[in-house]
Amino acid sequence: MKILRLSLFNIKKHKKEAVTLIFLITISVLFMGIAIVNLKKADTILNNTYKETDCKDSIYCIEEEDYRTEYKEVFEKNSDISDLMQTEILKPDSNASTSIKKEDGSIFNFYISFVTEDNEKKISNFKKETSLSDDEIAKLKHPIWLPHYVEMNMGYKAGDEFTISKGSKEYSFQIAGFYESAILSNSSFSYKSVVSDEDYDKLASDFDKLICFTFNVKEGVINDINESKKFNKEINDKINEIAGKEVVVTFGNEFDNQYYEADMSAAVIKIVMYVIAVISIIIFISSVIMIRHKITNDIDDQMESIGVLEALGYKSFELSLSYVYEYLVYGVVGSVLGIIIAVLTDPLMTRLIQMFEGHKGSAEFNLLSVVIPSVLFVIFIIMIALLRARGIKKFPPVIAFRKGIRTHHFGKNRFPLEKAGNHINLRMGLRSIISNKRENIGIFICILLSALSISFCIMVADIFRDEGRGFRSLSGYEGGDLYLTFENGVSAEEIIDDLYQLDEVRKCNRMLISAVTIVGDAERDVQSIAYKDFSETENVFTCKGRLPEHDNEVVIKKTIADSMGYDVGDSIVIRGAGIEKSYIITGLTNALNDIALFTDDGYKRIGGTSDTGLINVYLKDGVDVDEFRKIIKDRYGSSTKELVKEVDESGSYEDRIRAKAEEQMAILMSEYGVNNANYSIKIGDKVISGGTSRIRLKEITSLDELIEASIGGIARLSQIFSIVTTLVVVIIISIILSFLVDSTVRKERKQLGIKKAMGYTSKDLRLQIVGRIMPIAVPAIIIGAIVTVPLTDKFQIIAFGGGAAPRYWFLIPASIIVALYVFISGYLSAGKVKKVSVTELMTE
Amino acid sequence: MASSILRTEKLSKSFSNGGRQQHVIKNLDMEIIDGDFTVIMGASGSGKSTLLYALSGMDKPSLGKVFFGDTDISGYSNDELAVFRRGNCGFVFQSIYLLENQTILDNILTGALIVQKNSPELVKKAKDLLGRVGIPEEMWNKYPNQLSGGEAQRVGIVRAIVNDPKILFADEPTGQLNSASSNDVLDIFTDVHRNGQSIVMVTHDIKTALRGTRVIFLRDGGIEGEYRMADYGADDIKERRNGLQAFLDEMGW
Repeated sequence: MKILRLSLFNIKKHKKEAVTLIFLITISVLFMGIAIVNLKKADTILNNTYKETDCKDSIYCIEEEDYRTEYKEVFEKNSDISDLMQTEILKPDSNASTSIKKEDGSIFNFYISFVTEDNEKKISNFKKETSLSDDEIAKLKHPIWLPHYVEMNMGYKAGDEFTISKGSKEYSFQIAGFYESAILSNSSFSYKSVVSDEDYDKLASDFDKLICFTFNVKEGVINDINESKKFNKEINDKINEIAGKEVVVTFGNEFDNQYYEADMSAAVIKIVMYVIAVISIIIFISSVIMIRHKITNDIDDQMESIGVLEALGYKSFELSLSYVYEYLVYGVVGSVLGIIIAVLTDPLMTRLIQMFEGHKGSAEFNLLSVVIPSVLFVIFIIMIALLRARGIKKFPPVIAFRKGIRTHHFGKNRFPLEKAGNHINLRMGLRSIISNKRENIGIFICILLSALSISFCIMVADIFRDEGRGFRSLSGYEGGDLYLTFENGVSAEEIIDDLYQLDEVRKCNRMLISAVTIVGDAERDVQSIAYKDFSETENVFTCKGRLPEHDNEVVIKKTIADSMGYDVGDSIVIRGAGIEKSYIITGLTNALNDIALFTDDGYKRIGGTSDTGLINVYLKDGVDVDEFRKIIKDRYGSSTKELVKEVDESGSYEDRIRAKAEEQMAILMSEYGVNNANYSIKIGDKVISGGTSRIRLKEITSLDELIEASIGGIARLSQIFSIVTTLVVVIIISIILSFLVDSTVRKERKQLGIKKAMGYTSKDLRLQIVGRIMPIAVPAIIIGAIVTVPLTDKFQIIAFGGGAAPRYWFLIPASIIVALYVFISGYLSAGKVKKVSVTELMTE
Repeated sequence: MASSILRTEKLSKSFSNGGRQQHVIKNLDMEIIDGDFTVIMGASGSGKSTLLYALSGMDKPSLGKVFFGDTDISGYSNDELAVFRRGNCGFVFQSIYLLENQTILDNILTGALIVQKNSPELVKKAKDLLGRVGIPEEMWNKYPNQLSGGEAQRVGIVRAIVNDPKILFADEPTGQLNSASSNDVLDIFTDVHRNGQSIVMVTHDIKTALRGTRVIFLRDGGIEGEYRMADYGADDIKERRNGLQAFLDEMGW
């Protein structure tokens, strides 16, 4: 009991240090709890969504025009299939995109499909969530039930207007509420929404109808993405056999979802959680180092009291226990607080992960996942405290009375002032480094880990910079300033030749983009990208091997090659447009998408055509991209996409007539695939004529715009996370430095007082204290920055299966800033020396 | 006529003690003459050390002024006082206060390097002074805890005078020393004073006070009286002692 009182006395005496340690233990327990609990959630939310919505785990859709009733037998006869249901869905055709028109008039790409309530119930339980009453819903003219993704990530609520545009048409709905659907509800397959039977019938005239079979696959049949592809291929082959041709199908199942949709978001969440766990460990290591530091200083400080207590008969072990109790209190209080905060913040974390994954599946909170690491933390703290406090046994009463003569210095004088230059403060700081080796190793580790975390977070923020534009090199696409897509019948070669006539253009090249399948036991659908000559590309890289040079060469994504057991030099068979050809893998890419890279000639071997394609335009330095867009429009006409949107109310009557006519031409081209049409309109004596020949440009876009649309959300969240984490680590550095400096000032109060009496100012002494920290901090920061490079590369491989090109040179200014921050933080913390009074020393 | 090096005007110093103000120095006017060896005596609690701290810029007065030459230092900030001390004052403490983790030579240089640039001359001067006070070369790289009390105090004196301060302050410099060591230390003070050094020393020991040329007796924070003597050694030591004793008796010592 008396020993416990000693502990309480120590806690009371050093309240600030106690609060700091409890705070750090709380944060490390909280972070570790968040990391462990949410790592599991990243994997379970989508699975739980399937379970909770009674969602069939597979869906197989065939376009209505290709559908034959015999296909149903393929499913019925498959013994691995159960709970088979037939349903139908409306989807935009492959040549048209859909968008949401927001209230402010802005357009947001949003791939949507429609289903009736009865048909949705053949897929899942269609559990509605709404804030509207039945009466209110009944009054809605065009009610629509949207996936929770729209509510969570786009800010819509029940009752809001929801306008979808497709080509020149707009479809207005009122949001009746939201529901969860695990399958066919993501950016890859489209977001499936439920509309009334009447609206569905109206939409059927503008959208493609897919006949779908939904079913469950017996447990154990499909266990991974390769088995999923194999299962799909077997069904597909049978349908093709019946059809006597290749039927275009859309197949989706839980594994596809995991792979295409949840894979990236879950991987990012997991990486985020691993980073949080690492930060937790950094904070914990820092806490342990501080505990060791504090116990050493406390023993020094209380040496005489220790001697007195030993003289009175206390055993050194009993006195050691007083320190252990003290840290037990810190550990338990910190852990309990950490657990409580982890429990309280769990709903928020769940919500964030649901937003990130786009599904509202439940996620369990496993209290043990937080409690077990907390208990381990406390045990570790007690062990460290006991080991350190056992140092008391080195001080029998007589030595303790003499204030631990063993603590006095008898070693070699490493930095004699006799040989010092004129930097006395730095010299004195360096002396202290040598005399406090163990303590400094601890500080080195703390700063190294903190610097590593900050550098890593900066690199992550840079990877996701500008709405994810750091991923340019991961796209597999050329990353020029503009992409130009022309209408069918327009010769890309001629356009490129024409573009080179413009002074603004530095370079052009063309990309042919299509879809092919890598043939194998488990087939993989990939996007094929073909370039005439890879030597002219600037943004296409391999992580192994080289880019294709001949028509029998291909580069595929590394993760696909790994999963299919291929490597550079192997032969693979690729199918496109029903033709299968063999290719040699010359290289592997870390691209984000599942891609295969060919030469133009290689692409033609499997039926690829080179009539059109996407023209990539590089502009010369200093050319304004927006100005160049105008030049392109003047030269090739507005894009069909813009013409169908533009309603020019200004200009002459003739201009407006012409604009309207061209709008109609654009609609013919974009909606109905018309290649050639002309118009003539007589206004009085004047005839206005034109036609599709004037409208050659289909769309102007850029790689950056495409990237923003696909990963802009993830990029923003990742950046926020990186910034928040950086700030947390920065605060932790300040706390650590403040704690260490506090402790040092307390330990060296007398010496600091003597120096003050000699005429050293508080500023001199602060510089001396910082002078001890900086020689440790600077190498730690440099090593942290160096280690960040391979760590970031590894992170990208794990998270994205590829590597973007973060601006590693950023680490240099970042490290300088961190070093300055450590200097300033240490200097400010050392402000406590101001409180060291000379007179207090002299009246001792 | 000798000029004053230090001067106070209505100097007061009080401390808060449990919410009550305790006035230790009260409206004190005094002058320290350049070249004098001034000894401040008085009973315990009379304010000797408090006066020494206020005069030396170790502490700020509560009221009144302290002039060093013509410069009023009473309004200086702590850092300004530190800069003032490093350039003008040397200190010898009762508890010596050597820096335990530094060698003897480095202890001296730590005090010197804050004022002067490091140079072979400075190191030579430090070594010469150590030699003069009887610290042999083999001890220069030892640590303070390897020295006797007398040796440590001699090092303390060298540290105080290495910068050629305009005034040397000493607070009971022999308080922790045995008789032989005390004499050695006091001989050094006498020697330093003979070389023109102004000294202000606080003591309650008559033997120590005999080394001074002027004795100021404090009572209740004010000057009760003062006594002037010839330089030490210039008169008969017995008469010197009797004279001082008579003064102290008069003061009620």
